[in-house]
Amino acid sequence: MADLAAWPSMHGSEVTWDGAAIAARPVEGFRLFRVKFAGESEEGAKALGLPDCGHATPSALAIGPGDWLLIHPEADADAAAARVTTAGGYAIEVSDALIVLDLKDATQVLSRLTGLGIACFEPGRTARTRLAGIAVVLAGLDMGGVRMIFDRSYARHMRRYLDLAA
Amino acid sequence: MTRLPTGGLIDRSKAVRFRFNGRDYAGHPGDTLASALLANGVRLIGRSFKYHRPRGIMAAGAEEANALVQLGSGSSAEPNLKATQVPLRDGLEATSVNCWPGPRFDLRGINQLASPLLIAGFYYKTFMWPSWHLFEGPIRRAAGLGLAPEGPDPDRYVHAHARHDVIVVGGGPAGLAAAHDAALAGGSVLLVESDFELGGSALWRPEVEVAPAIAALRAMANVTILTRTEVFGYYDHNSLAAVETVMAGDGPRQRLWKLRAGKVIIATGAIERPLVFAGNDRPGVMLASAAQAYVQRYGVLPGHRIVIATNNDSTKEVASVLTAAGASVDVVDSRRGLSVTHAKGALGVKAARLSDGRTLPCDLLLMSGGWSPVVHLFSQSGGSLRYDDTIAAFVPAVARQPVECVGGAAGDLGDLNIEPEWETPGSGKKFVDFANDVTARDIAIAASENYRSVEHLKRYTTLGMGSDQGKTSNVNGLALMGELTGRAPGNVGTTKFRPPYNPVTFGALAGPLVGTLHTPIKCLPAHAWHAEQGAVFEEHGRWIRPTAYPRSGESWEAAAQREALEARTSAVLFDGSPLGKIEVCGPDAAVFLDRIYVGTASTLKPGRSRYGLMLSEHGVIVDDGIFVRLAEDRFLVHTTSGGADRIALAMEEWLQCEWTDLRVAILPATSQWAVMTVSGPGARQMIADVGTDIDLADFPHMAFREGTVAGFAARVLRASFTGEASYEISVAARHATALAQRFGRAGAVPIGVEALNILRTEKGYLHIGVDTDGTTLPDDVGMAGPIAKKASDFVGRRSLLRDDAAREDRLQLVGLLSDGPMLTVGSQVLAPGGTVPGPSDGHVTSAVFSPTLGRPIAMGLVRRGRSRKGEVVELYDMGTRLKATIVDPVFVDKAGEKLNG
Repeated sequence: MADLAAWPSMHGSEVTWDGAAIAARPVEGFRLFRVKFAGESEEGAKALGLPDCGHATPSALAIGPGDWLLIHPEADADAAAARVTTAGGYAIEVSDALIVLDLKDATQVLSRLTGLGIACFEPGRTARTRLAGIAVVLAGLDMGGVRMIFDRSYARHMRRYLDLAA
Repeated sequence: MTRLPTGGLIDRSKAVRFRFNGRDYAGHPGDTLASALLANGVRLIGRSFKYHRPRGIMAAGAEEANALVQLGSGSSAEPNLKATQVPLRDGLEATSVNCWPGPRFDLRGINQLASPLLIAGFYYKTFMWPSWHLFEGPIRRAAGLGLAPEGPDPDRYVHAHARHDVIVVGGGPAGLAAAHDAALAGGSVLLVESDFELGGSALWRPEVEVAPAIAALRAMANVTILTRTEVFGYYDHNSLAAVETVMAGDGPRQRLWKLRAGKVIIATGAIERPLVFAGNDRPGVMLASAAQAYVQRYGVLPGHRIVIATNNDSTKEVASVLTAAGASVDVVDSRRGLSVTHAKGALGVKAARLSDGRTLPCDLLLMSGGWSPVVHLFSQSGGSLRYDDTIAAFVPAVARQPVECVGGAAGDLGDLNIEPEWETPGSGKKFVDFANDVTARDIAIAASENYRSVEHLKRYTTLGMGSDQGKTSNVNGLALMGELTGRAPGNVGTTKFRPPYNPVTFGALAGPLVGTLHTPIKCLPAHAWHAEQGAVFEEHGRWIRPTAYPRSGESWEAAAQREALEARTSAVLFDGSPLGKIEVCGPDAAVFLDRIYVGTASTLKPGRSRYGLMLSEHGVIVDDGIFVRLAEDRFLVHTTSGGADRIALAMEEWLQCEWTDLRVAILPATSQWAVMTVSGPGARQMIADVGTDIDLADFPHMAFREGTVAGFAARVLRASFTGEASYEISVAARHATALAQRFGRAGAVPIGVEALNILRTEKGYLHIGVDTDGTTLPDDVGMAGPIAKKASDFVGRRSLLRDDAAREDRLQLVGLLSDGPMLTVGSQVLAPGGTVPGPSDGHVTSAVFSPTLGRPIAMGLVRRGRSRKGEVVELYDMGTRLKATIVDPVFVDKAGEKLNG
């Protein structure tokens, strides 16, 4: 049986990000879509204004070759997904699959933890890498902040890591 | 006391209390444990590795091979630390290693009587009869120096990365100058120093001025300085590994740095070599430069009547310093035809016997056999070394990465005028490797037995394999081998230097991902609800999932039985959220899946689903699941719970590497959807009770519908892993708890993974990786039918045509009914004759007690199993023999009528 004493937060209702050694604020009120094209993606990506690999716009992050994550306010999310279909792409909603956290003053510590250069965390840049043993997407924000996106099933794992690894 | 009244870099205004072997002592901030012990007149530190000879302090830095100590106790114990590298702190508790009851009287010192037998290679030649294993235990107990911690490490360790234009390793005069030059060029510079002070040799040679350079570097914005940080490894792509000891109170104890550099400058200095004479390991025999360091850095005079044995000019400065400190000094210089042949004294040196027959009384015998540049990191980087006759040492030759050595590490050692005397004449134990008790005689034995290669020499004698990794012994050892075999040291060569330069704690290497963080574990979206229902959790395929929901006084095993029976008689709720979910989209999605799965996707109509087996190129079953056609160009593929990531990656690999012509997009969606499966004869009514707009009357097995359930947008699949009518209801993960609550209020009994295991075994449903292994083919589990019918090609098909795949004696999945007790998974089916050990005819893969049948049932892979139904076979497990009858693997509802509800 699992050692529940080693998982004190497992009995809580939800993971709380308050008081983490690295200040983290969940981003809410948005819907997320993962977007790919079947076959060549260059034309469709251009039509949708999707960023190149390693870069991000306010509403789209390139998370791999031919692989994007759209992040839209709920009001225009359906329209954004429809535009993907019109451009010949395929979008699936992943709003419930992912945790989106904005980390404050985190570029230095994330650079130390991931080995990515500080330039990777400049606004408009994004990177997909490994942190705490899991895949994460990191995107630079203004004022030294970093947006971190990862699978929601790892929320408790990441919460502990942010405290212990800082 | 041997503390000098003035001098040194210690803070004499403060006292630091510490204990060694149970006695209280005091030192000062700036001391190491070694300097503080010497200041208190302690010369005997421990006992040697093999012969348990008394040992003291021979060095002042990382090259120390004798003075090993144990710090702390219990879980906090740290064995085999060099006293010369332990900064003194208040409350420090240290003990000797490798001796009992203490270093002064050590019972295992009896080993010295047996020393003629314990020569190089003794354990390769002895302990062979009747079996090595007979002797292994006592030998292992006798070896090992200090004691390992008794429990989990209570300290915390972190990892960090950094990259710089230039990384300078070593904060001595050469390193400081190199860092300053690099910083002036404008790039980012990292200066790494293992000591707690910058300065290197200038710390004990105060005439070398480094303070201005240190101040200048500290003022430069593009310079980062790390002290207490040991670079222990140099790897490809100009990357270094270093471990920093962090001094913050509640923070991590150590930080492992993974460093990358445009250029590395190695300024690690040089290490003085011992002389090889009899008794050179006695407490009170010390490297000459170490004595100078103790005087000038720590204000400790380690002896008053001192003999210096030397073969080079570096000891002139030492003699001058010691004389100035008040000692009487005699210099014995082998270049003038006079050598020290023997150090006399048992627990501490008392006199030096000379080659002319004289004996000089002394309480400190210093030795200098020359200097070896610290080329370890350069060698680790791939750089080659060459032997420099003028300094009698190996120096860097050709670099393979952007790296440069400067100062002592480059062989810049001044004018040594060295005339090596690799071994002093005379009899007695002349130690070459102090850490592993390797003597000059051991080298001679290796040479006489033709272990001439330096690599063979190392392995046969253990030369250089101790905790100091041969820092003081390698050159002496290989030079001796050269003399014995008529080769110059340069022609003998060195062994390849390997990380770590200095021992590193496992904790630092493991970093923060230990304990519950070691393996990232996923949690269900409705985890808290399961906990409220009393779930007992267990890890399954990297998910922490409910095993069962025991009620008060009920074991989890009993709970699983009750839950399984509920599924056969009413309606139960199973959280299947980990079920792998991948959307496969595109005009060629159906063609793609036809190639990936044994089942055919292209003939499937939207809204319908089909079971599929996924094979490797070898035809072996690697996954199974149900794929649903959502639209002409869109499929929802379900994988096993543990296979979601693996199968998505495999699909991408086929698509990106082999079938680049197919227009397909792979979109993993496992975590987006929570899957609540309602199963049992009452399932349909229960879904109606919580409310749905899906027409349940027109919803056959293996059909798929989208609509609402309990008010939540849902995808519902009629598929079953229990054998009962089942509805797999997928809702957005955020609604998982609310949906579970609705079904709970409607009376659904939650069931865990263990009940599901019982239910699927009763139905003979195979569990990939449990009922199959790395050899199982579709026909082995009775699924050759779809292959025969399928027209198009698929991964693994050709392998199924091999002779081996058609062998009649393959292991085949069958049911097993024991003659009484429950079978054990892993029990071997004995071949006719029943000999143990003997040939196996298969093994049990799944075994449960069936609450439906009221008896144990099992499945197993049995040789020619399908043609042996009705046969009674004998099984063997851990000394127990049982009998079982081979039967059909479907134990309940063979016609499958219950699936339709």
